[in-house]
Amino acid sequence: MLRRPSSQRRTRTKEDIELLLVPILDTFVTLIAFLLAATSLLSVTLIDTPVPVVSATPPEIKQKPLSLTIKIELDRFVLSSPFNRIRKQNIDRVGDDQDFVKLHDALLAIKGKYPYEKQIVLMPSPTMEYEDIVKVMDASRRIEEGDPSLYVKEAVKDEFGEEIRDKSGSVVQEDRIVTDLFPEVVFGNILGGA
Amino acid sequence: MARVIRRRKSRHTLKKQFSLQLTSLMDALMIIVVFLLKAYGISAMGVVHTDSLQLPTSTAPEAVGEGLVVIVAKDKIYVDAEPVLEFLIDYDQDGNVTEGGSKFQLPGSEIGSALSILPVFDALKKKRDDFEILASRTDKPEAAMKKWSGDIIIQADKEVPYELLRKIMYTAGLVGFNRFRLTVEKMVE
Repeated sequence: MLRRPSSQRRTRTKEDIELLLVPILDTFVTLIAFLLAATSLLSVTLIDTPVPVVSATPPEIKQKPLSLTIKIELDRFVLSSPFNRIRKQNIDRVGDDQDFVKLHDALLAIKGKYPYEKQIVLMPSPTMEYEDIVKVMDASRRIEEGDPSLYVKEAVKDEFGEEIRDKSGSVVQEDRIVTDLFPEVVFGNILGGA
Repeated sequence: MARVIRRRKSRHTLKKQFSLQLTSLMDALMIIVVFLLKAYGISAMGVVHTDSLQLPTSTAPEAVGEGLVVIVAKDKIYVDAEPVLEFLIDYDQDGNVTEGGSKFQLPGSEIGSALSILPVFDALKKKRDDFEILASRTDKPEAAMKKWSGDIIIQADKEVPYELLRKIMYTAGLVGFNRFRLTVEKMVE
């Protein structure tokens, strides 16, 4: 007796379907071999630094910027601000190495006074090795575990990104923990100078 | 009799079709491929760790990016993987590199001004010119020209003196590169 076509279809779907995974497996093995050969397992990262721009017209600012500058000399660090916003500090070398711990502590103290500042100007001496400059950047990048916590006041925003205001009309603020120290690095003597 | 039955049974077993469960193996391979593809993306920055190029280590957060790669190795400067300048290296009588000899010494004063390096300037200028020619041949040249990022990835050996780095950055700035991306090896925390 002939079956109805609909019942025939139903019978066919009940059959086990086996995917042919072997060719895909072959492709994967080839891909892995290629990637292993082409990939460097070295973990690298990038530190961005913009070119300092020389402007002919002075910027219109209400307050003089901090422009925290670290002069990296062979025997010491000199922390200063061209607008005398901070007291000039010398951090001398300890033994064969520069004192990166003391530098970090000094920067932390400055960050406490100027929590919204993010930029630092580096002025290494010409003979300073690149590795030592990177170490200075590391010491000035972020607040480490064990460092005292710093907070800044930040406006509270709603889900649309609008600032929330209280009944009197003033912006509602909350404390935000500061995690970065001075992550933005600029070389101050690219155009010459000491 | 028993032996005959066993033989028949074993023959029967051999004839049975068996299929490997490849799904879990496929899962594992897929994870490996994803991991390798991620690492391949980082290596696309073209970092080659050799004796003549040892990057400094840093605690900087992970970041990848694109740009024209300038390599400052112990013996040469490369722009986009092409050597453009070879440093003067002191060799002893046997032809080995003298220990404590001069490092990263530029060959001659005619190599550029006090702040720039002429061969590096020429190579970078050529790259910029190539970009501008390509941009001018598009349908919207002005829009294409705006895509100039001006990013330069500097892969310098950890012993490179700042004076040389400064010259390279100044030279790049003259050509129109306005952001330097210093490549460092990520420190294992």
